[in-house]
Amino acid sequence: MKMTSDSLTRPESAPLVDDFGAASGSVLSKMVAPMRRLVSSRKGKAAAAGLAVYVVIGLGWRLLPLPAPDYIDQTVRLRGPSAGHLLGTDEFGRDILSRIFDGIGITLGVSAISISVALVIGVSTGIFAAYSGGWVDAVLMRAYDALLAMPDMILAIAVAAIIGTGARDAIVALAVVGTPQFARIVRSSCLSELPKTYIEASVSLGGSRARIMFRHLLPNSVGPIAVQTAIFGAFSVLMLAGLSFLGLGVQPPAPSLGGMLSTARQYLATAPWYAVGPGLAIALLVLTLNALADCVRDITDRRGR
Amino acid sequence: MTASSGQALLSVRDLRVHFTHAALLNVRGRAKTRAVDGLDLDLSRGETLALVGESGCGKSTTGRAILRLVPAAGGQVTLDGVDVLALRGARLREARRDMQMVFQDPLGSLDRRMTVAESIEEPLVIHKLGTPRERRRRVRELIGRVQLDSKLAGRLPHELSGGQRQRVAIARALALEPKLLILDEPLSALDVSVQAQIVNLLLDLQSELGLAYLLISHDLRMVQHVAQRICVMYLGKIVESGPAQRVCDSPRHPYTEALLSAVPNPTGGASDRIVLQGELPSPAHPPSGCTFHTRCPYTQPVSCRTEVPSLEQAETGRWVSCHWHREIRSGTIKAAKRKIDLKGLEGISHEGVA
Amino acid sequence: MTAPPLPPPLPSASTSARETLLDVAGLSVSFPTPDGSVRAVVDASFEVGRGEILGIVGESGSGKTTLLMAVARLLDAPGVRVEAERVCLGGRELQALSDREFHRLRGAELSVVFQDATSALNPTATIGRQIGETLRAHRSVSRKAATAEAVRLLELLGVPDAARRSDSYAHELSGGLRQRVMIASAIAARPSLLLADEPTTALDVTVQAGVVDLVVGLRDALNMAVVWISHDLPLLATFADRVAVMYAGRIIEVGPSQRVFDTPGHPYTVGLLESIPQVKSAAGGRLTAMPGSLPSPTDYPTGCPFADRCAFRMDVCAEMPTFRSVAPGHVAACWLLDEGRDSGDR
Repeated sequence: MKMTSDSLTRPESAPLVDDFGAASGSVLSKMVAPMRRLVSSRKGKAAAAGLAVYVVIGLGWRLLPLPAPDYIDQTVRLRGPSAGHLLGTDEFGRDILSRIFDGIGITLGVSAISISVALVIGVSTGIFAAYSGGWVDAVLMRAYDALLAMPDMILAIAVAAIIGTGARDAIVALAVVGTPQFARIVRSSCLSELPKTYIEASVSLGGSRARIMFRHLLPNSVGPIAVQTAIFGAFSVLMLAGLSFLGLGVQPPAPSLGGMLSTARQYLATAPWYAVGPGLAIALLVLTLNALADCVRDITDRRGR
Repeated sequence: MTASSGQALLSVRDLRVHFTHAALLNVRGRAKTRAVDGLDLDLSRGETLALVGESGCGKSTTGRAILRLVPAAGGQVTLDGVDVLALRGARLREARRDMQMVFQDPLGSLDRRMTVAESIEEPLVIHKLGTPRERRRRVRELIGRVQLDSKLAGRLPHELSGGQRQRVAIARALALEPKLLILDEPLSALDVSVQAQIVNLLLDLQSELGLAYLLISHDLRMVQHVAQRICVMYLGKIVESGPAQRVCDSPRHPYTEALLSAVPNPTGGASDRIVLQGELPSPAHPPSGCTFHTRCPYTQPVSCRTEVPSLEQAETGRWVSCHWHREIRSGTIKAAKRKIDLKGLEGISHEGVA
Repeated sequence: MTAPPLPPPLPSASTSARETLLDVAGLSVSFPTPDGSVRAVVDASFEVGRGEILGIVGESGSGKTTLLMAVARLLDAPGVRVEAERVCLGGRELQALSDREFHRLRGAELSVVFQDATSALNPTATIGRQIGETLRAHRSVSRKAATAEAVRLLELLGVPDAARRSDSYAHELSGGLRQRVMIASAIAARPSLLLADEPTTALDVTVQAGVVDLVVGLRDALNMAVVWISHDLPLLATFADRVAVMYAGRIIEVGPSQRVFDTPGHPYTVGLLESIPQVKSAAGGRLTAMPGSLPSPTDYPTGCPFADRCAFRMDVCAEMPTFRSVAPGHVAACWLLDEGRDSGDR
């Protein structure tokens, strides 16, 4: 591929819809190539497939011919796997499989929302702190440091204890844990970009603060943000399960994987199959998300994007 | 110091840029580095003025201060009648359209996530000029002007060669139709053969567009070829200025002389090179009096250590800042020669390796 | 594909008065990349006499650094392949040495000085200790004696206030001083060959002049051979005895440095020199720039790599030229030098 810098192409002969159409690509079109790289490895394919399965289950399980997850039938309490109940029934006679599926849906929903909240708040404050520097940066970062100083689970429990229990409050708790992580990562990335010449160039062109922050700093931090998102995804699933296990997350009668695990403990001797389903569901989801995080990290490492 | 011809486009008076060290707390307060210490210069339309010196002399800082990329501690910078240092907000943004910079590192000066077209379009977007279609046309025109293949419009910086990247940077700097282009070592990151291509491009653009260039460089060969006037800087001050050819043929300041003699010249006779003694002093702790006296081969016991020389006119259009420049010129004062003596190395015998 | 035949031994291109110290023939370096196999050095051959300064000049991508690193056995990119007919130092074939044996040569027979002194020096050790380390690696001297010798070396090499400086750390020194420290460290054990990879490129011009004078002085005092890589041909012409020009991984011209500078034989060298404004030349006006750019290292053409950009390109350039004589002791690989001669023989 030889490029001769001396060659001159007459502007008039260039077609109107040319490289420029593709050149100033939309955000989505720029994501195509990395996405493709993500699934190029075996681990990537497996992780993507796994996540897809979970998402499909979470969104579409109602279409399956399963008993309703809240249908109580005391006559079939704690039965083992059978034709009508593929994974058996719980202590209220409800179908375990459909409860697991419902629980997956709720888990994904709670995780997605808390990731989004943490991302938006964390990233914007991170960029803002990095760009502002001085006491603004110091105050914001000390506040985040205080939150980061506590072990995540303890912090989540503390928040849940303060604001209450249930899915909505769990979202807040997870967001509180996640926001400082995003902020710190983004701030660090921005701090290493700020001294670079292209930022100076943008200032000399007349670029405003907002422009530099969102048109230059943010896109160049996409790599670390993507990795953190994947990591926090796995993390939030686990934490939500933990909160529910402790009775602080999703409240009954809504099904939650962690909650089911907690209940299953009592029946470990008499109905061991009860614990298997929810446990595996959690474990596999976390594994899938971790594998995804690895793949994201791999592709960002190579290009540094 | 008046400009050579016509009304000055850029006029700098007593520019001062200071950096404070937060870490050093001495009794008198914070330590201050005078990166630029009272600098004057004038530049006319269509002219190339070179700011020359070695690392730490403050030439890059001068360029950045003019562009308001670093804060100035004092002085005046007048561009086309407007005092740039006093501007704020929208008026400052407005003024930026008239003065642009091309940076030393072509790859670093481009956002690695923006394509060539996007980078060149950015100034137009920032200043809200034209419709998207008009902007695209202008970008295409600029790409042609810097002799870049239009097929490269969709490429990212890392997919281009060094010369191509610098062309993109130049195109971007020209987008707003500036009157003044500050070139901060635009060639030092490029290969020799590519340097020649870019120099030719810059000269062509200057004559086509009537641009004024402030060329910041340490490459005396290139500067002498390209610039009409030269200002030589040392530790934040201008020590000599004048027409490029004359300054290089017969320098008046000892530092200029040393600088020129250090440029490798294979066609010259036996090297009568002036080797400066000592190291460049730290800009944070400059020597007293004439800051060059610690390394000057002509240094005299009177004045050099105690008094700061001022820029005096040596002839029309030539200014020198040296107490003894007339005596040096007439030969009354001679340079002290230094030679390296390495005979002591033969002392220890070389023991062979097993 | 068959490699072009090796150039004949170059008795005419080496300075007659000196005994050959380093003899390299047919050296090639290649390594795999996602875009294909990169041939960084193609069939390079050169000699360096004892106490001679050989300059190697080229632009980026010419292979000059890789060549040096290959001789010094410092290449460690994954999958790198180094092949050579001959790499002899003082009559000893270096390729036959094990890594341990080669390691013992370092410092004592062969030393390397790099472009970036900052990363080559240990930031956690004082410079006196670092120089002393080289000494103690090759001679049995006490630590005290080694440090004293280090101070003496620093003094000789023009480091002011050497005794105090010997206790400083690398980052406390300026670029020029760091380079002197690196040189001191490299010559501490009095090697017979010094390989220098652009040692002054990152330095100011006045500092560069001092380091050049220093290295020339060292050559005179120790009869040490020097291979100095640079992109600056005029610089090499001021102090190197001979110079070799590289392009696209190949050596395309070799000769006495002043001669190559005054009357270059290869069109590339001509173009390179025309791209540089000479200090005392007439100012203003355009420079004669070479069109085009370097061919991609994964895709070198089979013939002369410069043909695409050459104003004098001929049909025969589709074949790689061997060295032809420009003048006694001065050769270049270009078919043009055959002009007037029978091109039938190969």
